[in-house]
Amino acid sequence: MVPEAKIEDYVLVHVGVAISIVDEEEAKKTFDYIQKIGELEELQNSGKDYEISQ
Amino acid sequence: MKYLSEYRDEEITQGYLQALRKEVTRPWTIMEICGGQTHSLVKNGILDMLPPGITMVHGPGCPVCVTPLSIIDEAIALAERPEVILCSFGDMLRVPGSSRSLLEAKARGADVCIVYSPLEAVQLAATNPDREVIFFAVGFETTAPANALSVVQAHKQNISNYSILASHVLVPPAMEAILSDPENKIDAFLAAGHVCTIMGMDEYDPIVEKYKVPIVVTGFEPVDLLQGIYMAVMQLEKGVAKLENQYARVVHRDGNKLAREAIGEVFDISDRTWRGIGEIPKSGYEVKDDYRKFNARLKFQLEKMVVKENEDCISGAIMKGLKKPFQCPNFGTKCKPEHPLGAPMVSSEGACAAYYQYAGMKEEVL
Repeated sequence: MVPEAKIEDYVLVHVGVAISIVDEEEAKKTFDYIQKIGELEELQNSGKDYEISQ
Repeated sequence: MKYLSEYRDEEITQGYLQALRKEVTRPWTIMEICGGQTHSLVKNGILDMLPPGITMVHGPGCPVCVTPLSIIDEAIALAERPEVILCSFGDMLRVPGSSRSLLEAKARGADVCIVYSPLEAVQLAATNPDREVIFFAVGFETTAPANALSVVQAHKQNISNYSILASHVLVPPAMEAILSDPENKIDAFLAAGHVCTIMGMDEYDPIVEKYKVPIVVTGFEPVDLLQGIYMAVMQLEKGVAKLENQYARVVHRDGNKLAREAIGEVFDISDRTWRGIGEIPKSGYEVKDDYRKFNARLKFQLEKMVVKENEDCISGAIMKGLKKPFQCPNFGTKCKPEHPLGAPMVSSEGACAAYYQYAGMKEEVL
């Protein structure tokens, strides 16, 4: 059910039917997010103001 | 990137755990909706590693678990007809009915066949024109498009010996039922990522608004779950309630339109009884009148069965997040995967089965 899928795309398959294409950019954000948390902690420790942006 | 091993990375997992420990200032109770998430949390030992203030309770998102006894009895009655081949996903087979399970019916001679996709059942109908093939269509919104597709395919190919016994359930009405329970103590939800892959996120906005409860659409790997929990805790600690998407690599805000069109083509929304919870209005799908000849209930003129649930099973309290499997007096004694009293001990998505298999029977997990 993802007619726009191309060869080499990763798709999510449920009971024999593809239901979503895995988005690489979004997939990377999980790792950026944890990195940001780490950087925030460093900032926090150095006493600077911080704000979470996601 | 393969989208799997990275999300099981130990260093990143530890990073999220550390971040969580820093943020939690008071106890919070978070419910993960989906049984797949429950299994991942228990299997990967996440419940043991979370800061003590965070309690995860396990939601009703196990389609096998919430299928009422009456529908299992319907499936067994159909399977025992000589002309019928009843096709089902594997974990439905050992769920106890009133007098026996589908597996026991199979041992007594019923033709019960395990399939991995409803499309296999359509195939089976095409190759066995002298038999009636019935697919036991159990599932949440994630599975509904494939089940709908099987009906459309049978219709297009003129396969008249195929029908489905629909047992579909929907997540948002169940969340509302849980939140309306005066005993509920849930502060935030991890919504089921794969359900939202189909339905999108819009239907959760009114729940966030009405109950002021944070909802984070979350995936299934350890890093996904910890990030989802972290995002929920950040909201709770800040005192805000928003709908967020942790699982954006798979879930889009508007879901999968094509899949929803397939659902809309074949199914109508209907009232549904949930095993252990009771009837929830507009919480399921039934086959539309246009496709009535593919509705096994009508085709075989099944009468509505009134049956009594096993009182020894506390699955209702478990699926509403009011109790943990260890709090059941029969857990691991009268009720084991080989001899289950109720479905949560059977299904690969059931909370009791997860605790039995992975938590090593430890009381501390409570």
